[in-house]
Amino acid sequence: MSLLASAQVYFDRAARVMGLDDRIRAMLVNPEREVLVNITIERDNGQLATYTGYRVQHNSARGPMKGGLRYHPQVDLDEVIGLASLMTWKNAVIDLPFGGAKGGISCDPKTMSSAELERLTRKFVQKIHDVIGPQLDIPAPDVNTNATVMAWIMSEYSKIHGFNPAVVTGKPVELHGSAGREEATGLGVVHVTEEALSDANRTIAESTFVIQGFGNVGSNTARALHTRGGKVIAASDVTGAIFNPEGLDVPALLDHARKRIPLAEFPVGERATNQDILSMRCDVLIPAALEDVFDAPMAEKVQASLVVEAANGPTLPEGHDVFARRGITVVPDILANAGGVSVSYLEWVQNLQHVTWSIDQVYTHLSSKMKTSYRSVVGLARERNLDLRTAAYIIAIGRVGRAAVLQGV
Amino acid sequence: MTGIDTSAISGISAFAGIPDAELSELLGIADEIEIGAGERLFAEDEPADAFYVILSGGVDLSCRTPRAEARLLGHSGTGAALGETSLLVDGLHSASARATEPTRLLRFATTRFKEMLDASSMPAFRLVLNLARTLAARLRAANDKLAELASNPATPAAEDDLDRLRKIFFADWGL
Repeated sequence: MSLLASAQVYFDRAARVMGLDDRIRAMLVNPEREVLVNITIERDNGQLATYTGYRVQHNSARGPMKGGLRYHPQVDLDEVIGLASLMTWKNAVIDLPFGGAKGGISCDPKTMSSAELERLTRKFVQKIHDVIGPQLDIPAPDVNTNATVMAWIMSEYSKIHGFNPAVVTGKPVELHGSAGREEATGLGVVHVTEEALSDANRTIAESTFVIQGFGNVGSNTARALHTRGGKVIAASDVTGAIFNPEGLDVPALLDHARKRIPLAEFPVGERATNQDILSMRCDVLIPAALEDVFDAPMAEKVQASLVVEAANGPTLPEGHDVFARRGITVVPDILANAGGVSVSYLEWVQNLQHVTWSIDQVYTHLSSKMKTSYRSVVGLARERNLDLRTAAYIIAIGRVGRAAVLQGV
Repeated sequence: MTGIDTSAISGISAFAGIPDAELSELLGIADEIEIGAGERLFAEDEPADAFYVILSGGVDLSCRTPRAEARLLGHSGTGAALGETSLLVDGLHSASARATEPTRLLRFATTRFKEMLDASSMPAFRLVLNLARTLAARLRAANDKLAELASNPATPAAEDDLDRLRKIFFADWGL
């Protein structure tokens, strides 16, 4: 089952609890606009190549639509539609004044030069510039896109519409990007983890952590946990895992990872597999890499009392049900990893006002956003006896639904 | 008076079963009129003072919605009767009729027809009987349509969904 199929199940469960019928579901599920463009560029070797690009704008009831732009050979319209709707719920659950969107270009960036990617990006903007904009739809980095790609988008859009940095977020800090964007998702994960632990009368400093995945999110989560006194006892990347019951040397591990050396080659600690660390005894398990990690058998083996979903879609519905039966608290992805889009929002706010905030200002806003959102989800879950995931979806759907109704649908 | 032969109207349902001699009597009170394409025969809300039979050509029937938008109700061609209820009750035209092509019609003024009824004219009675049958068939079709609408759950009143949306999103889950 794909991430999108799982998300569909979770949405449907929440919709059933709320009593939404098919006609109301149709209003909430179908995207407002699906844009498909074909982009032809000249490759460096002089040959022409044509790529298909998509931008799907799912729902604008709560504000301009926001979501990433990914470059990947498997990008297709169905995937982009599903991801766009997930952005609507994610933006709503943390109460950003945004609707949801997503985009992508079906290409293999690993086989393309930087110059080719720039030509592709600029031409894509030329074809969709009239449906994006600071008050309309604001792209952001996603799979295989980064601050440089966002800079090209801003540059091309500004050629047509005049200087307009707020058209895109995740830009380089030197080009109207925001301080704190890089580490935002990991930091957000740590904020909700801190809140969830405090509900169990614990602190980060008293707890042990296992992190699956050591990319941007996993490594920044490890760093923020370490600075708060948390003990990260295991971490993994695609090559394997490293384990130390006394706690890994996180700064050394971050240094190691920065040099792009496989984690399994880290000199201190025991080797383990990705699977091993998921069933290790620890307080908090943080999947920060892959989707579909927890099916029912895997969820049965987990020994942590708290799972914080830093990755998108790590838990399958059957795994979710096992966690619920076993009383393991799961902070769902749409809440836990929303720190990235939260700082994207802060970048947009700064751009609109032509101001630059200090990193402390950004961190303060991010912390407040994540903690407030976590509290509202937990509050509803307790009041209506729901799991956190269902509560998060209900809060998101409710906010979008009310915004739609107040505008006359 | 018209120069119309009874054979021109004997096939029209309003005159069905009326012997030729009586048809001639009815034609005696009718006027033959012609209107050009685009010309109006009568307008909605005007007093309905005549009954028409189309001898050739055709007219569009339309009415205004509550928002004053014109809505086409249908097209009537050769042999169709228009304004027949005016023979039975006084009132206003419920629709407007405009010719879509050069059109010839027979016009039966309501006042003259009522005089025939008052005089116990057999052809007038037969015409009223035919009109009654036509109107009864239309009433039955309308009743069937109403029953179908009432029993079809796929077309509930639009208000229901909006009320339910408000209840779900504000009352039940207003948080």
